[in-house]
Amino acid sequence: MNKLITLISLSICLVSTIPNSFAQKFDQTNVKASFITRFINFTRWPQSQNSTSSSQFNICIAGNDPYSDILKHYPKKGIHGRALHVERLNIDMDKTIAIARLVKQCHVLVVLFDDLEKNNQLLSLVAKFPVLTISENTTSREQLSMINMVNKNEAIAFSINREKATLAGIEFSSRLLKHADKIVGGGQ
Amino acid sequence: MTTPLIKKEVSNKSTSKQRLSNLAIRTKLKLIIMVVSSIGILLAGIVLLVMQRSEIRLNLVDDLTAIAAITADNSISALSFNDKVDAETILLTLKNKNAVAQAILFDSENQIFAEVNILNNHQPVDSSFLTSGDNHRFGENSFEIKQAIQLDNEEIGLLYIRSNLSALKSSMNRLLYAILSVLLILEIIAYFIASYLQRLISVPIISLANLTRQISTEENYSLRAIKHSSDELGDLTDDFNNMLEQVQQREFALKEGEKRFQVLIEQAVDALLLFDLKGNLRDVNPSACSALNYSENELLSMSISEIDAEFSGDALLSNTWNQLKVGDSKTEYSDFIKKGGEKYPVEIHLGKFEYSGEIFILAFARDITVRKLAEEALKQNNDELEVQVQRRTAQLSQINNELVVSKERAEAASRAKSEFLANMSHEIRTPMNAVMGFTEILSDCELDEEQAGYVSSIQSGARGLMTIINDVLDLSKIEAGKLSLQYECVDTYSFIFEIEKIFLQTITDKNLDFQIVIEENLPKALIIDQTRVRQVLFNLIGNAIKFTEEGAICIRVAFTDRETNSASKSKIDVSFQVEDSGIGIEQDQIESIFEQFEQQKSQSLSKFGGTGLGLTICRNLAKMMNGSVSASSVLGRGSTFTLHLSNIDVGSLDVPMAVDKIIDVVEFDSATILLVDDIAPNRELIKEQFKDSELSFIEAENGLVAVEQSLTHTPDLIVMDIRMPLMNGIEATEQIKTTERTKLIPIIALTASIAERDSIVNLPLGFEHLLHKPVKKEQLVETFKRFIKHKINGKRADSNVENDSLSDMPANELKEMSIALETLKSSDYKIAISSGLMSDIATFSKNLKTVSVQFSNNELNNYAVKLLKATELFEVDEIEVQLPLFPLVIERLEGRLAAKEGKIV
Repeated sequence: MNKLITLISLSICLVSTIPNSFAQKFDQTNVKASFITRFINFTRWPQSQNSTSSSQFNICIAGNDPYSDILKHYPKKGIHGRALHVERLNIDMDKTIAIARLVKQCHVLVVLFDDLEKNNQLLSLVAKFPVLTISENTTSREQLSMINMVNKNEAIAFSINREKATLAGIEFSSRLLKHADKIVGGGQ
Repeated sequence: MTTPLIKKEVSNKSTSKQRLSNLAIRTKLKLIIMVVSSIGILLAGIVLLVMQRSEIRLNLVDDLTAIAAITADNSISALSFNDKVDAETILLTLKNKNAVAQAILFDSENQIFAEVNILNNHQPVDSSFLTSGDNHRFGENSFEIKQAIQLDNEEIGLLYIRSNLSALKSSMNRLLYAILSVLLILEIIAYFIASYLQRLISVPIISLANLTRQISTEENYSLRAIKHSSDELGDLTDDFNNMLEQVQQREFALKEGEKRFQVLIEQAVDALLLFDLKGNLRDVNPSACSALNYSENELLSMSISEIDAEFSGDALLSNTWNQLKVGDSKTEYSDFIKKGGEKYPVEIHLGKFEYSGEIFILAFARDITVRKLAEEALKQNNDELEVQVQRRTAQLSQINNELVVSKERAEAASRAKSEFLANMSHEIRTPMNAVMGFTEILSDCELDEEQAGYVSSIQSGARGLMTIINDVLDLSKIEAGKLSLQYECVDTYSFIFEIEKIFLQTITDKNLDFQIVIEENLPKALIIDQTRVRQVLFNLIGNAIKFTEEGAICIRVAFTDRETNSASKSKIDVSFQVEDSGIGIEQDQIESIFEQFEQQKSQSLSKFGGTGLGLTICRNLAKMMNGSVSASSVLGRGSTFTLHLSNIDVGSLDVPMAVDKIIDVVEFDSATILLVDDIAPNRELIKEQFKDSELSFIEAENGLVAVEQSLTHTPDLIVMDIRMPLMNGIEATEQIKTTERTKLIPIIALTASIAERDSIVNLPLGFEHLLHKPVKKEQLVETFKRFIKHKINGKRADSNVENDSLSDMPANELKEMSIALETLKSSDYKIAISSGLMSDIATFSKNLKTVSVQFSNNELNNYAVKLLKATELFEVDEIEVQLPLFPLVIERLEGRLAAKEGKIV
């Protein structure tokens, strides 16, 4: 707990002092993109999801998309022997069946709507889907995504909701858990 | 400049080697054990050290590789999520592990992501190692290892670890010290073991060495080494003791030898002088001192030249010695000078020998004064003896000459005596013939008893006188060399049985047994002088009868072959043995009875009479006939006299005993017969048998001469022997029969073997007749009758008898008979000839007789009857003679038939 407090306080201090320059932003985007791929490395999907489109790994992005261009070239060798495929989803929240059909093809769903409500709505909708859900800098009281990336000082930190993951049948490697800032549900 | 150094080094080496060699054996043994064990332990230590170092390094590599791999794996997530704190934490776990001094985590862009310096030992990382292909490397004091960090086959970083090797080094040092400590301890242990073990070897050797030293110092060879063990050293001790035993024995023998030698030298009668090549005397014996009258010391200070003038002068000395080789010896004669100047002659044996590298002369000098005197005396005696011998030789030579003259005179006198005796005997015999002849006439006259008694006495006295005269005459003839031998072919069996007949009556009268034993296969005819052989045998048998009163007289005739190269002509040795059971002869008189006028001492002259010339004549006659007469006897049991005749020719003719009857009745007309035979007595016999006839004979000793003679004389008949030298009978016959002038001359073959006979019969130009040896006179007369005109009992008879029977026979009948005979020849006769069985011959004879009766042919009938009779009586000889004649009979008949038909035969 002490470590976490120290990190948070250190992060607040740093965020306030560092100029929000474009270059910094660009680096962080890259780091986050890198993180997304690393998450995949340390995540285990249920068997049913693994059989879905087994030849490639589908990363679906809903909302703002700073990553697809980066992820298209990264990583070159793919993950777990599968090529990465980035899909940008056009989500119409009214069409839940269509959403369900779209998301069902995804292994990872990065939810980046500006609208917090929309984010939560989509995350709630796919909560039981065997899809790793990643959000960014969510401000909601409850973290509805399985992983939420946050800018911490000049670095990127993330928190994990194991409860959500367990609900969707997704498991995380202890190594991943070890580096998480916060773990919700199922203890630290 | 380097040479002295090298020399010095070499000298040092040799000195140290020498020093090593001079060490005591126990030290050497210790040294050997120590050096060997040290080398062993050291090598083991080095190997252990090297292996240990290698092991430690390998372990270090393995350990750090494993640690690096784990650490790298642990660092994956830290690198993945840029968690430097975690990375450092992970790196810090390397603290206290394998002396890790530095650990650095590089990110994928080779920037240091996290770093930990343990032991405050920061060193810059060599970038070349990081980029090289090696995973690890050993530096001087450090060991570096790198490990790539991969995530999902993507290299996301690199872990670098540097380990400090000082700990390893100290570990190695500790090990070294431990090994050295162990080495030292082992060396100490080895030293004590060596000290103990060397005693096992060194103690016996030192003991032996000490004993050797003691033996050589004390010269006591009775000491013996003590055996400590049964190994090679024990054997060495045994061998050493054996050697000592031998040395002791030799020492003893040597001393004994020396002692004996010393006694020999001292007791030697000869003076012994030993001197060197310069002539200086080095040793002398007591005999030398006494012979030369010097003391030993005086002699030893003198030179040989002072004793013997011959050895004075260096040149002579050196020459004398140089000529002599070492080991050789020579003998010289010289004079020695005694003390005082007196000389005496010596015989010196000089010997040269080498002793202890110096050459010496040993002289054995013998005083030969007495010998010289004896030699001179002997020489004088020899001279005298030689003169005496020459004188005696001259005397002997003279006596010899006189003796030769005397001998010649004696021989002349003997000859004169013999001649005189011979003449006298002849002169006496001539009137004696008249005395005896008229006495015989007188005895036939009518005389009264008294007169008849006187006449009988005269006859008896005359016969005795004639015997004596004949003996004297014979002996005289023999001694005068006037007796000649007349060899002729004699029928052996008849000859022997004639003798039997002559003596049989006398022997029977004396009631003695008489036996004649003839060895089987004794040849039927022998060429001997039968008169002289008979004379000898008469004498021997006469003696046997004379000296035998009871028992038996046995005559044994034996022979041995000398030549067996011919069936009919060979030479034999014949012996006639006359055995009696009479009074016998004493052994010492056996030879003397053969002397002239000698008789057995015990022989009563009044009882037995005799001239004492009989056996002398026998022996002389036997000698002349290439034989001998010998006697053996046991007094009172009897005697055996043997006439042995050597090299007697076997004759090929047989002499009939009773042919007079035939000769009496057959008178041959004058005719010439050529006798061809290489044995003269055979020819002589035939000539002798017909000497009273009108037949004249010419002779040839071989076929060649026969051919010439037949051409020269054209004889009426030829009797041809077959086997002859130069040209045989068959060849000669062929030549004669193919010569125009002689082809009609009838030829009678004389042959011995069946094989020859067959070949002759089958000849195209054959013989007219064939006779088988031995031939009897009867056969010859019968054969001659066929070819020579003759009278039988005063009546004229034609030479061809068969003409009588054939002349009246008509030609057609003659032809029939000829056919019948030809048939017989190809059937019965052929069977008889080929089988030779008596039954076959008898069948043939019977059939032939039938033919002869059928055609009333007497000759054929006679032939058949003769053959049949011979068959019935098993007279094999006769059959062999008669049977082959049959073809000739046919031939003659055919010839006659042809003549009748007007053909030329």
